[in-house]
Amino acid sequence: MAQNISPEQSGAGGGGSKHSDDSLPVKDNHAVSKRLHKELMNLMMANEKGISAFPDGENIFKWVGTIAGPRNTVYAGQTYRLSLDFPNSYPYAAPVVKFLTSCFHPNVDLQGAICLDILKDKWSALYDVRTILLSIQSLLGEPNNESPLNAQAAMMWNDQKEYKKYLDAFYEKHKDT
Amino acid sequence: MEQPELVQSLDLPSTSSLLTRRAACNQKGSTKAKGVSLEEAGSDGSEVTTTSSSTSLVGGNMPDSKVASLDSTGMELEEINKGNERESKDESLYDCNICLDTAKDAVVTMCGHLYCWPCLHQWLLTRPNNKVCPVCKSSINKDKVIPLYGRNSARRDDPRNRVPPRPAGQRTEPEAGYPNFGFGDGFFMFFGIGGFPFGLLTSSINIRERRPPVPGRYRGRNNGQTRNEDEQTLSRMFLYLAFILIAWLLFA
Repeated sequence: MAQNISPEQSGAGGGGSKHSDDSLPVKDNHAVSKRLHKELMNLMMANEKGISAFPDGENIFKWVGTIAGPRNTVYAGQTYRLSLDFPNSYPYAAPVVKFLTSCFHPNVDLQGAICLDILKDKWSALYDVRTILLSIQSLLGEPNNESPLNAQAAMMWNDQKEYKKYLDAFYEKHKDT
Repeated sequence: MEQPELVQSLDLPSTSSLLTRRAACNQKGSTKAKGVSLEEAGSDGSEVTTTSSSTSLVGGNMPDSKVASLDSTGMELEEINKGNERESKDESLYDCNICLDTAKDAVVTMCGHLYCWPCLHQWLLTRPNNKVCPVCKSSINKDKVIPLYGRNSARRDDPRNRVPPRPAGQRTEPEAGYPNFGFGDGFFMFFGIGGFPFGLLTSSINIRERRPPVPGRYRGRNNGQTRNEDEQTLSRMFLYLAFILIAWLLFA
């Protein structure tokens, strides 16, 4: 998205940067990876409890994160793996975040897609991997049942005991994934 | 650093013993009485507090003073560490909220949040209809952003007047088989209609694609924009023509 801003609009100031037109896409990518490296450093220094993330292999634009199910919720004791895919326009556009571990939750569909406003229209360039993972962690305990991706989970949420039972059975079934 | 404060409270036994432990390493073997040291401390300030009750009591017992000195160096190290931590925090105080690096061409919004101008500019461009501060979501705009000039900032001009580094447009050259027989842009439509199904395809593709002015070609004439619009209306016309043709073929 950010790459496709109309040239007339941003060039209004007089085309001062035309000398480096060719090198810019690379430079821009460099800025993204620089920010991701910084985030990685911060994340490792902060040593946040319950969340972690690391680039998946060589590619700094693809990360795998883990979050622990928040305490005092039905998800306590579980660990979830997530994939984070950063676009070239990061941090101006949100990364694509998906559950790799199957997760039975009102706002997570069975493919792992997450319905979370800060990953969609409420995204801000300020958010980083840490805040994303923390937000998802808190989403686990406080689902938004108004706009469910998993209607069954949303229906069952009110009866927490029953929910927990179902959840245990669900994990027994999906142990391998 | 903390000594003056301790001097003031010398009369408290606990703090004074603390002070003397710290002091023991500076003036070993001093045998001044406690009362004297207190007096001097009062008159001369922190320097004098190096005399101590413990040294006077133990009277140059080396092992003890060594322990004391080790202790105090430990404390000093801790202090230094704390200082460093504070410093690094201070540094990150001036980090751009978007690139997380020290802000370059720094600007601050009316709500008080710091950014590099290129970063903020890019942010504003990505959402022209919803210009909000990434930190606090208050509405912002270019004219209400305040540039910051440090004492030694090399460039004194307003960062907002500079075109920030931006990604180049994602324009790809037309591929071969997308003919442009030297009649100038826009005329290739004629050929398109001749080979009717393909022509339709070309024109419909063309209508969706915004053609940025070709650099260098129209420069200096200053009519790249109008040319572009002309082209668009032209190609739209040809699209309609093509539809009429289809309709005619179907119904005739």
